[in-house]
Amino acid sequence: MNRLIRGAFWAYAAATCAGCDDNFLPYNQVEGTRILGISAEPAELIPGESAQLSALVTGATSYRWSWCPVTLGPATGHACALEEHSISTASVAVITLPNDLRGLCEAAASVAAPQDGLRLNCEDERPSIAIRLVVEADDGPVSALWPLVLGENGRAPNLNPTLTAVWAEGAPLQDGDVVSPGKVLPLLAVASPTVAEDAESLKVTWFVTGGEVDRARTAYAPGGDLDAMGANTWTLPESGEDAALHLVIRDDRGGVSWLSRQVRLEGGAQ
Amino acid sequence: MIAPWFLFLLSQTPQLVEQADAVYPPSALRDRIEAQVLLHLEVEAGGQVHGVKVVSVTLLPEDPSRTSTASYNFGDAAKEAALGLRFKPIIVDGQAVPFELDYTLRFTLPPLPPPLAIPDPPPPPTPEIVDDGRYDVVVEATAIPQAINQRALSAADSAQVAGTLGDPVLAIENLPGVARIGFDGGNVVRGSAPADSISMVDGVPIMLETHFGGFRSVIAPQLVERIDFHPGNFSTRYGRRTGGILDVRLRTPEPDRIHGEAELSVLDAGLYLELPIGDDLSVAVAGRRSHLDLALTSLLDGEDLQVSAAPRYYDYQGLVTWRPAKEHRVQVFGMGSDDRMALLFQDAASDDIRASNGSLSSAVAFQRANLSYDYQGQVHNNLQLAIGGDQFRTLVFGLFDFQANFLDFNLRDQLEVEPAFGGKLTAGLDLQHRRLNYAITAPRPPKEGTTGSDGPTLSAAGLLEPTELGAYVEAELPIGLGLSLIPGLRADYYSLVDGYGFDPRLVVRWQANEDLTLRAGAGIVHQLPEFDELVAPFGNPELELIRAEHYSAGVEWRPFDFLSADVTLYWKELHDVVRPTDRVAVKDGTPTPLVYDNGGSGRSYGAEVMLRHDRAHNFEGWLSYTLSRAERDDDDQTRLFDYDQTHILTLVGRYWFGESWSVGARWRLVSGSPVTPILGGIWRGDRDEYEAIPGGINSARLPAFHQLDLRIDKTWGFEDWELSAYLSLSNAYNRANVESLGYNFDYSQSENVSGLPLLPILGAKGRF
Repeated sequence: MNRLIRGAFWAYAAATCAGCDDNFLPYNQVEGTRILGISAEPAELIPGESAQLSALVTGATSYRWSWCPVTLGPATGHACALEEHSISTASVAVITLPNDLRGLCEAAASVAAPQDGLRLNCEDERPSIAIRLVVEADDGPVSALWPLVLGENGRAPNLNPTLTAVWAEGAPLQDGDVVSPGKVLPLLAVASPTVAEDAESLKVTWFVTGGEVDRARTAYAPGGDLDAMGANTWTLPESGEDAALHLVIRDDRGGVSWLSRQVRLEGGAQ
Repeated sequence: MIAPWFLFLLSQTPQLVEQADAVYPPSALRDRIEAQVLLHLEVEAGGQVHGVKVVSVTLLPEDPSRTSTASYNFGDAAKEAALGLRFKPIIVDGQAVPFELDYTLRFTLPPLPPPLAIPDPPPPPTPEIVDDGRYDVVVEATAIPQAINQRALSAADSAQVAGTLGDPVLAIENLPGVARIGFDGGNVVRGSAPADSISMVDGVPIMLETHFGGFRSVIAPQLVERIDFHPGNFSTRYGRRTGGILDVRLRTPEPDRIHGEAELSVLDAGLYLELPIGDDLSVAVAGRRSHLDLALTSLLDGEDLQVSAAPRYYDYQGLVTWRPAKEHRVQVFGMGSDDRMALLFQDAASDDIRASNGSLSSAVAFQRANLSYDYQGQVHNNLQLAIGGDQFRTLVFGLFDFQANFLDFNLRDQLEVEPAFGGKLTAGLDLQHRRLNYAITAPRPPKEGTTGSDGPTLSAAGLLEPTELGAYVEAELPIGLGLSLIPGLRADYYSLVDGYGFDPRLVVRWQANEDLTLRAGAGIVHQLPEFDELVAPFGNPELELIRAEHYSAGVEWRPFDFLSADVTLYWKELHDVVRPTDRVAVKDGTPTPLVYDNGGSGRSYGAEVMLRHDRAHNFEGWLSYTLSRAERDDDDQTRLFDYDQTHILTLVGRYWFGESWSVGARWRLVSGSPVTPILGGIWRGDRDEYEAIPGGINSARLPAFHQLDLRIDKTWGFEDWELSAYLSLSNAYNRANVESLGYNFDYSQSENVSGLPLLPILGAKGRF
C-alpha cells in the first residue's frame, strides 16, 4: 500500500515536472507555433445544437478541425476509435452535433471494447467529445486535443469566464502601447465579476513572447481574492521590436477565453 | 636432529590450566546452529586473559548460501568465556612475560534425546571446553540442516558493507536476486515488483522496511540478529506474495549488565540500550530520528514555499525478553515508524493548472506490538500475536488526496516436531485481519507498463475488513545418502476476493559431501491484487488471485574453509496478473469499464551467483552476480518488465589494517532500467499542458549504472567503552548515473536526470 502511494507520488511528481527543468524554455515562453487555448461558444454543447470553435494560436499557417466521440489511448495520440468527423479548415469553425450522440458513444463502446487503449469520453462525470485541432506551420504541425463538454437539457449551462482588461501603470494596456526595454511592468488582469458568482475555480496562464512574468499561472479558488488572480509582473525584454502577452483564463468546467496584448519596445524598429 | 630453537619454542607453548564455561546463544540453540570461533587472546604475565578479539566465526553446518559468519552472538559468547580462561605463565630469562595466541572455541549442540525414550528435556546447552593440545574443542554432533532455499545476512556482516550505513536491511540489495533499489524503496526480487514482496519482523508483516528516500531502515541494527531473505521457493510458512520474503529476525538480548550504544551522523541520531532485570528478564530499547529537517527548514522556507514540516523520520523499538524456564521464552516487541513532510507552495497553480491548493505533504506512520511465546521442549511451538496500526496521508495540490488508516491483527502459531525417524515436521496457522478506513481523491495511479497517470479524478471512501487465513504443513524428510525431501502445502483463504489459494511446494536437497550440496525446488504461490485495483471506481472488485510458479535449482560448494560458492538457476512464471484494460462489461444495460482484469501474464528467469570469502587474512567480501530477464505479456507481444535489470554485478569487500582500522568498498554494475521512448507530445487543452505520446513500452534502456561506495572505520578502545568513527562515501567517483529522462514542456527535447552525486556521510558511534 505504501509502495503504491509512494509510486503514485513520485510518478505524479515526475509527470508534472515535464518542462520544469531550468535548461528548457518555460512553458509560458512562446516561441514558434503554439496552440495556447481552445474555446467554444457556448461553452457546453447540447447534442443536436451548434457551437463556434476558436483557438488562440501563434505562428500557424493552416487549421484542421475535427471531432471524435471515442478516442484511443495516448499511445496512439488519442486517435479516434471510430470515424473522425471533419469540421473545418478555417481558424474559426462551427460544429453541429448529431442528436443521438450518447447512443453513438455507447454503441462505440460495445463495438470497440477489445481495442487496446480505448477510452470512453462519455463515461466521464461530465461527458464530452474530443475536439482535435492540427495547425501547420513552417516548423511542423502541432496537435491539440480538447474535450468539449456536453450540456444537458435542464441543467444550467456553463458560461465561459472572461477577462475584460489588463491594466498596467494605472491604465488599460492596449495593443501598440510603447514601453521601455527591460522595464518591470506590474499588471492587473480584470476578470468579469460574474465569474466569481459561479463558485468555481479559475486559472489564468500568462504567456509571453518576450521577457518573462513572475508567475506562469495564477489561480482563484471560491471565496478567495479575485484580484490576486489577476496580479502579476512582466519584465519586458531588453531588446527587440515588440512583445506579446496572452492571458488564457479557464474554469474547471471547460470554459475558456483569452485576452491578448502586443506592445512595442521603445527604440525598436517601427 | 631437532634444532635447539624448536625445543625452546616447544617448551614455551602456552598451556591451559583453567577452563571456563561459555553460554550457548539461545537463538542458535533454537535454530540448531553450531559454530567455531577463532579468537585472538592477549594473556597477562600471570596467565590471565585480559584481551579478546574475535577473528572469525564460522557457523556449522557451513551453508554457502548463508552470507553470515558472525550471527547468533557466538562471538560475544566466546569472548565472555575466554576471559575466564587461565594459562600457565611463560618464563623468559627467569621472568613471566605476557603473550598472545590464537584460540579456537567450538560451540557444539548436545545430542537430541531420543523421542519418547527420555521424558526429561535435553541437558543444558553449555559447551564443554576441552584442551586437546591445539586449544580446539571438538565434540561431534549432527545438526539438522536448514534445508530451505534462503539466504541469511547477519547484522554483523552488514555493518561492514559500504554504502548501507551499517544497516542490515539495506544490505539485502547486495545479494543475488535483488535488483538495485529505486528512490521509492522496496525490493525488486527475481523480476517481481516491490509490492509483490513483503517485509516482516519475526514473521509479522510490516508496511515498509525503509524510511523516506531509502537511506535507513525502520529498525535499529542493534536489535537485528540476521535478515532471512527468501528470493523464491520459500517454505510454506510464508505465503501471499509472488515475489520475495524479507524477514528481519530479532536478537534475543541476554545482557549480564547494561549495554548501550549511541550513534550520531549527518543523517540522524540513534540510541540503543539493553539491560538485565533479574536473571530471567531483559529489556532493550532503541530510537532514531533524522535531523536533516532542521537544516532544510531554514534552507527551503521562503516567500514562495512555506515549510510546515521538512522531510524527517523517526522510529523506535522496545524488546522485552522473559525466560521463566529454559524451555520457555516470552518476548514482547513493540516498534513504530513515522515519516512526514509538509510543504505549502504559495502558487501551486503556477506549476500545475489542475492544482486547487498548494499543499504537498506526505505522512506515513505505523506501529506494531508483537507478543511471542516459544516453547522448546519435546516439541517446539511458537505462538505470535501482533496488533498494529498504519496511517497514510498524502496530499498533492488538492489533486491527489489519499488517506488510509489500518488496524492490523496477526495471529500465527507454528509447531515443530522432530520424529524418531529424523527430520522435522512443521505445521502452522497464519491469520491476518485488517480493518481499513480509506478516503481517496485522485486519478487512477500509474501501473506497471503504462506511462503515467491519466484520466479523471475519482473519489472513493469506505471501510474494508479483509481477512486472510492460512494453514500450512511442511516436512523435512532425510531419506539417506545425504538426500532430503521437503514437501509442503499451504492453503489460504482471502476474504477480499472470496478465493482460495492452494500452494504445494517441494524442495529437494542432496548433500553429496561436506563441501558440496545440490538443491532444487518447485512451488506455487498466490497473491491478492493491489488494494486500489479491487476498489471501485478505481479498480475492479471482481478480480481474482494472482498465481506464480517458482522453480529453482542450485549448487552450494565450499572448496576452502574461507571460500564458498552458490549458483542458482530460477524460473518464475506468473499467471492471472492484474493489468489495465479498456475492456467494457455491460452491466444492467450500461457499458462499464472493467479498468483492470486478470489477463496479464509474465515470467522472469535467470541465474544467481554468489562467491564469498569469509574473514581470513584480514579480508572479507563477496561477489554477487544476477543474470535476470523479466518479461510481461501484453496481448500478443512480450515486453520487458518495468523493473528488469538484466545484469547485476556487486562486489563487496572489507580489509582490516591492524586492529582498529578497516576500509570497505562496494562496486556495482547494473543494466540500465527499461524506458519507454517518448515520440512527441499532444497539447491537452483541458490541462493546459502537453501529454507525452509514448513509443513501445520499455523498448529502450537507460545507460548502465555503476557506482563505487567506500567506508572507512576507526575504533578506539577505552577501559569500559569503545568509540568508533566512520566516513561513508556514496558514489565515490561521482558518476552521473542516469535514473530517468527529463523532457521539455512539449516533449520535443530531453535530457538525462542523474541520481545522487558523491555523498559523504560522517558518523560516530559510542558503545559500552
